[in-house]
Amino acid sequence: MPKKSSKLIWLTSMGQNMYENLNPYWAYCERFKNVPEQIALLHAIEMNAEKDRTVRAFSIISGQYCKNKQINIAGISFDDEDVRGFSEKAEAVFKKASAENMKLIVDVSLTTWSFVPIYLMKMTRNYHNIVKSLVYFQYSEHCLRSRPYPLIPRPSTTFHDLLAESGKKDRKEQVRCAKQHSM
Amino acid sequence: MRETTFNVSKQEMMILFNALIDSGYDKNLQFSVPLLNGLILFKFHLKGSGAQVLNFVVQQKYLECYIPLAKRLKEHTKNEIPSYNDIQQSFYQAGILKPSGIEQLEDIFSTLRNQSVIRGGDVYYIALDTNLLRDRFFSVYLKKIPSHPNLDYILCETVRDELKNRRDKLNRNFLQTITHLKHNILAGCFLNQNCLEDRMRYVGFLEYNNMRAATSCEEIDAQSRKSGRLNDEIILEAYSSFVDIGRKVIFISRDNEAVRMMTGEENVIPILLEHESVIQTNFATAWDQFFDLLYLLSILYGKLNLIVGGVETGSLYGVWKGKDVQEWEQDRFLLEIFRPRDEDKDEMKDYQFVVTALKDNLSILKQL
Repeated sequence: MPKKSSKLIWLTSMGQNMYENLNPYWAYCERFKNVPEQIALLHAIEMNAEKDRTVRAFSIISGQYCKNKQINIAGISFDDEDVRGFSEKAEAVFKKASAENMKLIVDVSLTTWSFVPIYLMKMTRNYHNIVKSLVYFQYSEHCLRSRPYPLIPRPSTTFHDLLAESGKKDRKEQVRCAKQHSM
Repeated sequence: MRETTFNVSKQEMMILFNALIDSGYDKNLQFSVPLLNGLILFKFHLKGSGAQVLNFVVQQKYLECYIPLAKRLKEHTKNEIPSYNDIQQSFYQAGILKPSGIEQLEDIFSTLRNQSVIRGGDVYYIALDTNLLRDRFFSVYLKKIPSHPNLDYILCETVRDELKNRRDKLNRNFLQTITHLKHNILAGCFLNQNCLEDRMRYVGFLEYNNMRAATSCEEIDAQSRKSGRLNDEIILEAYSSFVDIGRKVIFISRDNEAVRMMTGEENVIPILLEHESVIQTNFATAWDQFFDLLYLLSILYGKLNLIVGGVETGSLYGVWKGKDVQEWEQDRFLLEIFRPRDEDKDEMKDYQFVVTALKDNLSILKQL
């Protein structure tokens, strides 16, 4: 069992535009008035310019919600035609978190190559004891993904923690089965 | 600037409404008008798709407030109190209501879409009369029409000149003639700003510039005179001279006389649009329309007060002393959130929440 730790890594991958990346993070920071210690941003090699812009924006949001905290934001490049290579690089983040006794918040809200969320989900399962949340930020319309979070009507977005939700469902299912058996 | 005052764009108003939704205040909100002794303009609920406006003030109730006020004011001062017609116009300017006669225009666009571009065909140029620019008809309707290679726009410089006209700025002496409101409130809003007529004309002027920037429209050089009637003739002449073989003009106006004069001109299709005389009191608006409506109303009245849970919670200024050109061009508001008394702990908590949401988000947006 890992030692209890409050240090967090926000793990995400580049989406189709900057706000797809920022919005779930922005919503998290606003809601919890907290920022993680590290941000790991997986990005395709050719997305270097967008990555720089996104890293800067992450830094601005983090600075607003936690002025005195030093945030480490790391870009991790991968070849978008090399699934195995992606898997290794993503797994390295999970291993690092495990070794450093940190918890992960994994964001799978992005519009990206289909293998990206599949592998992130797989690793979330494999490293479930160090994953705090699996975030999916849902929009009522796709076009809202390119709009900054505070300018989107609140009822048009839902911040899902898929782990917590599936946990609740599992517990409900267990209760339902137990009831059926007792009848 | 006070600690709780924010300079926001129309879109940034969403931050305020999101904070209110998060605080549980998504129903029974109201806007009142200090210039009309606190008359409640409308009530509204906040929804995902926009705002549900309820009980918009009816004409009779508006006049019950307006007439006694107007009687107390001098003739030239009276013009600074918006009439019910001004409110009606703002519904069209915000795109909440569509003018009647628009079906004819839609038929033309439908025919145009079926026209084969490969075989050429006539090019249709949309020409707007001054009144349609004041209605923001391009922003709320034409801009949303799918583009077509055979559809373009023209503008006449005389129209721009008409929209550039200025009557007067509101000075301290003038504002002292309005006695039903405290002078500091009036001065805070209107001192050294344009009079109501000029402010509304400026909406049309900005629309002209927006249309020119957003389209590849041709601008016809034409003179302008001091007489409005002569200008009308110049505008009509400019548009009707523009037609040529394969080049037609769709002239859209709200002026019966202008449309009548254009009828029969070769290759000119005149279209008359009209406003209904009655507006609905309950209606749903998309967010953009709602923000446009708030902006236009706050230009009319200078200031609107936001009432949340029966308590005046903030003020929305569309006009304020010192509002500069850039702020006018960018349709900006000044939003003031009232600080409750320290002993009202629940209200203070909500106030802190709203103010923090505005501060944090505006600061981030500015830096991005």
